[in-house]
Amino acid sequence: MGDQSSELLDVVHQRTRLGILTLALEGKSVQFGYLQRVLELTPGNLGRHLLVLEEAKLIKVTKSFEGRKPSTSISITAAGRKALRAEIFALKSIVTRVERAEVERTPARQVPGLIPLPNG
Amino acid sequence: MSFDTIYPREAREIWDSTKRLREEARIARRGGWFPVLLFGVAALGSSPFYLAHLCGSEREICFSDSALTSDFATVHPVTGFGGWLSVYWMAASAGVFGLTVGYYHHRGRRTGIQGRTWPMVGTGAVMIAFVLMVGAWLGGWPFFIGNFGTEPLLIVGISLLALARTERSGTLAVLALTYVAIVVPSLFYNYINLFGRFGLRSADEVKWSFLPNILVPGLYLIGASLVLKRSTRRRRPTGGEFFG
Repeated sequence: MGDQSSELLDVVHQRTRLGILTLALEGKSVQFGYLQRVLELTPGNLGRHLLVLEEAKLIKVTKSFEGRKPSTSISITAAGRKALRAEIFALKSIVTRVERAEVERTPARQVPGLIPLPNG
Repeated sequence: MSFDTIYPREAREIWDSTKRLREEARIARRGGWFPVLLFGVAALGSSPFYLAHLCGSEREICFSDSALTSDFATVHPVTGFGGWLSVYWMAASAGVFGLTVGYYHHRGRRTGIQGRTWPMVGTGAVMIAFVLMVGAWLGGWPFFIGNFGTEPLLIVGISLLALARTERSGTLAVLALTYVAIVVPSLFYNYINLFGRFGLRSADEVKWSFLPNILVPGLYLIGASLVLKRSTRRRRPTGGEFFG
């Protein structure tokens, strides 16, 4: 497990930031309002997470005006894509391992329709 | 929180919620019905160029003097570089791609997530330019693979497959693949022959003999756009589930 974790960035290994990167990966860019709505975060909370990701150069934040309305759009960087892929790969491998362990622990189910033979 | 301290159950929850977020983002950014509809309209709009011009006492199809195309030198309407059909398809493709980019931009501003269109536009524009310009200059096979000047329809299909891949849309992929299958008879066999096999013949079919090659794929695209529009359902944000 340790070998996988060593490749993970602590910045990405946080539920909200993982969500931000996941959403950013799916589009050319995502709006601040969209992230806030989907992740159900306050503007301040989301802003702090974005700052962490931006400082780690995992996202690019662009501020502009649409008419008089300020608009903030977020796009994922190449480093962000790489970090997210590593995180997803690690998560998937844990889930697969857990599922495999569960299958091994579960006793073989009785085949329906078969009547158990009496002992003796 | 280090990866070593994560509980398996938590990992599964995060994994599931990440998949839900991804799916929601994909649904929100999808707008494939729009270019499909436009391509359908563009295909139907090209119909006049596929009307055969009849000449001589035998009322035979004369490709050199078609109703709307100039330089209709061979069986391929698009081979005549500068022919109106080539101009039409270049203009129609530019129009469809331009409107699609505009629509995705508008939709992105409305939904908050901007979809990518450049793979579709890039694929289509390069292929149209290649077939209609470079292909016309070089002439013949392999640039003109069909017999009835319907190569642009195949390019439309490939562009839609590129969009399906970008959008990770299974529905669009299936519809685009079906469309490509529908286009194959338009390229090689002529739908009028196919109709003839089922006893559907018209007395004046010579004049219209190339038209079904355009009408069938065009009408299919319009139908497909309606199916896509219906399948793009709006979903409630799953943020609660994400942190649940």
